[in-house]
Amino acid sequence: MKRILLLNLLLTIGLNAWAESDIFIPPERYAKDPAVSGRVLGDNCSACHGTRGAVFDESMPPLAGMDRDTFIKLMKDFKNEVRPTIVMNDVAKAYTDEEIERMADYFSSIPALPWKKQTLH
Amino acid sequence: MLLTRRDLIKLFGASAATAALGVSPKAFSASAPHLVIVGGGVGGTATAKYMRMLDPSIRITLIEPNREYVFCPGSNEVLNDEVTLAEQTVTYDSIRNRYGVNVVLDKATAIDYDKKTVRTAKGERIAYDWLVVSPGPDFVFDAVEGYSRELAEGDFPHAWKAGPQTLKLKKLYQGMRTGGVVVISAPPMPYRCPPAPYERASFMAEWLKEHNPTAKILILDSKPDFIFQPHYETYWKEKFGYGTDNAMIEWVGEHNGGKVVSLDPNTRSVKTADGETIKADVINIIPVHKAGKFAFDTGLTMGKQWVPINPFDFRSKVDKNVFVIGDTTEADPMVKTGYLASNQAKWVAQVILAEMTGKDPGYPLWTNNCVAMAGEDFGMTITDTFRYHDGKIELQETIQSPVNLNPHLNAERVAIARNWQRTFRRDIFE
Ligand SMILES: Cc1cc2nc3c(=O)[nH]c(=O)nc-3n(C[C@H](O)[C@H](O)[C@H](O)COP(=O)(O)OP(=O)(O)OC[C@H]3O[C@@H](n4cnc5c(N)ncnc54)[C@H](O)[C@@H]3O)c2cc1C
Ligand code: HEC
Repeated sequence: MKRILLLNLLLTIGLNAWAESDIFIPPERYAKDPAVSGRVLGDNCSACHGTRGAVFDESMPPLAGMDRDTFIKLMKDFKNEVRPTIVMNDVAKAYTDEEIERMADYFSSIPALPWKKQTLH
Repeated sequence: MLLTRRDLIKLFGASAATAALGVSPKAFSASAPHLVIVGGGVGGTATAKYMRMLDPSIRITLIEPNREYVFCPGSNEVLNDEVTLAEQTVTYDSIRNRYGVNVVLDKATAIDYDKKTVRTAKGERIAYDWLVVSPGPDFVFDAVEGYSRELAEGDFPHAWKAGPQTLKLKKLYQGMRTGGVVVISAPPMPYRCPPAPYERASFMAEWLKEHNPTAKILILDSKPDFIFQPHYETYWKEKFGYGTDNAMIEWVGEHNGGKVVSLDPNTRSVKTADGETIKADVINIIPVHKAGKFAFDTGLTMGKQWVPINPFDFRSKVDKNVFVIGDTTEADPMVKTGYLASNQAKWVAQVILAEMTGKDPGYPLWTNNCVAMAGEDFGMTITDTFRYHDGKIELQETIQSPVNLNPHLNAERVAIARNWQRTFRRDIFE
């Protein structure tokens, strides 16, 4: 199976040992395809972060209204395994830096829903 | 929420907007383009909601025979009393009132592709500009000789569509004699939610360990291996003596004769491909899957088991105004999950918006980030990313969380899974 990128880096971090069936193709392979918009990319995150990134719960922080640069920094840190997490390293490494910036534009343009106005259940 | 007060004022004037967000479907202009959706499950309902978020004026009609929808994700936890079926159940109230969708309580029965109408069981003919079809899967009961829809609705529930059968299965295995045996027959691929049979076995074992500790669960598999196998086997060893003589869970792969070929309901026994007969107290046959009946009846399956689609935009190969999404499609290499059904729905809404406005639809990407559990203290994740490339859907990434018993990491994963279930339900129905 294809296990292309970052293998050594991941092994040294030790948080992510690769399973036999894992596959990873670096996003640069798709760089010449037409661009995926920030909205199409970002709406893939809603099952965890809520519709348009506007829900928070005990595990997942909201993305709506996040400062653009903060979002980019966090996502790049996830992608480059600088910041170990439970799932976000695996999520973020699928995207090019340009895609991360497009998602940052999308989420920073959505008003944040104040936490106090939400209920957990 | 795109259907803002401002949008509504633009459309209907200030007084209508005051009454709105609670907008009545009747308020939509009869000349507005019409999106009709068959199936109010994950794929169909996500299409309705996300279409409305993209466009405030389009008319949307959702055809679904049931008043409520019971979510499958999380339904295995009904079996060990962690959640109730009521918690898994949602209504169409928000979809109707908040998103202005006309929900028609009926069953779609036919499509007239030339006249662009859908016929329903109650005899209505509903005209569409675009039709999105997401009826979920149907089951091939006779792939196991002697099994049938009637037995599934009686004492041999498959519980692969959450609802009354889930409760029946719970009652049967929780009520069996001390030291009783549960047989779970796991189907061949493709079927919806590949880890769910093993998740089910794990949750049952968790309950049995406390209430009926000499009971056994025997998984007879029509596959030689399964997703998250190292995760489940590690956990089962730790908790249920997996691999020992006293194992509470035993797994027999297809290569060892695990495939179930027939059921005898009278003796409550199954026969495997090797000719072995196994008697059990509870038999849970998860049937072979195929496309939903509506897809067969309307020719969308084109003589196959699943609905062929155009991989770029999930358009049916039968007719360009019809899109098919969710479990009923053949969208290799995508697996059949709710997560993917909802992301296919969002993309199809973008494509329809583009057609409506004469713009370019852009380019797709779909993810499937599933969070599964083996117990209240063990979770696992899989991150799949799919791209459209060179005319095909390509699996860019599939990464599973590492196998380990670290209690902190597992507690976090379980919390993520729990929160995911809740946020996922809200993302589609609220
Ligand atoms: C035990 C179990 C656990 C699962 N866990 C997960 C999980 O953790 N994560 C995950 O992502 N997925 C999970 N799934 C899979 C998920 O439930 C499905 O992939 C998802 O429901 C597919 O959506 P769909 O729209 O294709 O079908 P469905 O959600 O099944 O919806 C189909 C709808 O169409 C309606 N319908 C059918 N025929 C007609 C007709 N002729 N006219 C009108 N309406 C019709 C039905 O009544 C139904 O409401 C699980 C499944 C099971 C069985
Ligand atoms: C399977 C659930 C899941 C999915 C899908 C998911 N996330 Fe996350 N996200 C999390 C969790 C959990 C955290 C907390 C960090 C961790 O443990 O992974 C998080 C944290 C984040 C953070 C940090 C927020 C902060 O304030 O610290 C960002 C940014 C983020 N996610 C962006 C995204 C984007 C963008 C996507 C879609 C491309 C996405 N996430 C998809 C679960 C998810």
